[in-house]
Amino acid sequence: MARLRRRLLMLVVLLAGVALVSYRPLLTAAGAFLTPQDLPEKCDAAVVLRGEDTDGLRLEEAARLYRDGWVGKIVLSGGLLPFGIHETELSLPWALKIGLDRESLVTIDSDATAAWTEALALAPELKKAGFRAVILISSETDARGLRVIYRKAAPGLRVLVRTVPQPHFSAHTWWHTREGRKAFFYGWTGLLRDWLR
Amino acid sequence: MAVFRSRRIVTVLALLVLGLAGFAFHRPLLTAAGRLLVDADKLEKADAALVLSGEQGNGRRVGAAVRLYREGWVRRIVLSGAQIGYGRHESDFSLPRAVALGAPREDLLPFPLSSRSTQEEAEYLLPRMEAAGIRSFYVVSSNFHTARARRIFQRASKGRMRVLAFPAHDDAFEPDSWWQSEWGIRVFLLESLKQVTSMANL
Repeated sequence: MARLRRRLLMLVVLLAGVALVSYRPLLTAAGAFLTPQDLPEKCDAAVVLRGEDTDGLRLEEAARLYRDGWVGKIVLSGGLLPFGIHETELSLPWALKIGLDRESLVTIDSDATAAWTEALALAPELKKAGFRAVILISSETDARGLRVIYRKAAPGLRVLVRTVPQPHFSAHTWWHTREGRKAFFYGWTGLLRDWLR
Repeated sequence: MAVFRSRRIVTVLALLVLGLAGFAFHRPLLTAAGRLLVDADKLEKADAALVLSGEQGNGRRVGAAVRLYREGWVRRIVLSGAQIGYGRHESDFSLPRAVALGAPREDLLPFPLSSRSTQEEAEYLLPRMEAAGIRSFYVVSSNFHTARARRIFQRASKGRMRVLAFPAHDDAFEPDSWWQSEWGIRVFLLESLKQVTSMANL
């Protein structure tokens, strides 16, 4: 019994030592795990997911993919914002403002307020539009979860994920700021929920 | 050996009793836990009602603030306007809603801001509200957010302002039955965690 305790103690000390020496790469790896980024490939559409809280970074990425010929259409997903407005009411004028032509844009409104309900709303609409491969555009900490969600909600649809820089989050430094820790926490709890769903 | 066995039996019995008590009293216990998140002050006159950003539904927070205004408890309404994307702020939408509900435009103070948390919101808004002559105000937010929001604003005001709480109903969280819906459980867990981190000032 005493020997087992001594060994357990040694193991704990050893693990603590390893964690102390290598906490930075460990935390970076945990942050980077949330944020996989696919390289662009030819797809039917880029889908700008709901939840934009910057000045149109997701839309800019979609416009870049469209102009570079990776996608033929841009889908604007319109989840529900406060006061009963849909995000497309904001994103569509913004898209036209940055020079996208109306014919390249498809709007899909829903009452979704979370990634999962958004996927459930989008999946049949994307299928109906004849899209077989799409590039989802979202924020960094959502990327891993989106792969899980769309595998479950839209089987048969080829899904790539591109992310745009997320204010206050970097896989290399997230633990230094309160907002970074918050984004990391939300990213991981969301991912666990998506896995278990 | 016999001592160990009897201790184990006592432990199992104690756990069983605790489990049964928990089952029998789960409703009042969970209700009490839910109510810990909600803060509501007895109504009294104050300079303003501050509508916090993060409205989830169709303008419940603004509606609650306008109610305070129309009943004469406050003279002005401060609208916190977090960024909601594409160059727009929540106050772009809460302001016309407040006007539509009957609050005169001259008594509304919108503050578009880029804060991403209640703490940052407090740090941005309090000096500006103080400069506008506000010395006492109601924090108007979703019911589950009021206890934490009041604590954060109270701490950030460093005793210079009187901070009251006024909860707006939120469909996502019913303090008396939150455990019966997935959203309710999610809101409760998340808000409880935020309460702890806010208390520990993390």
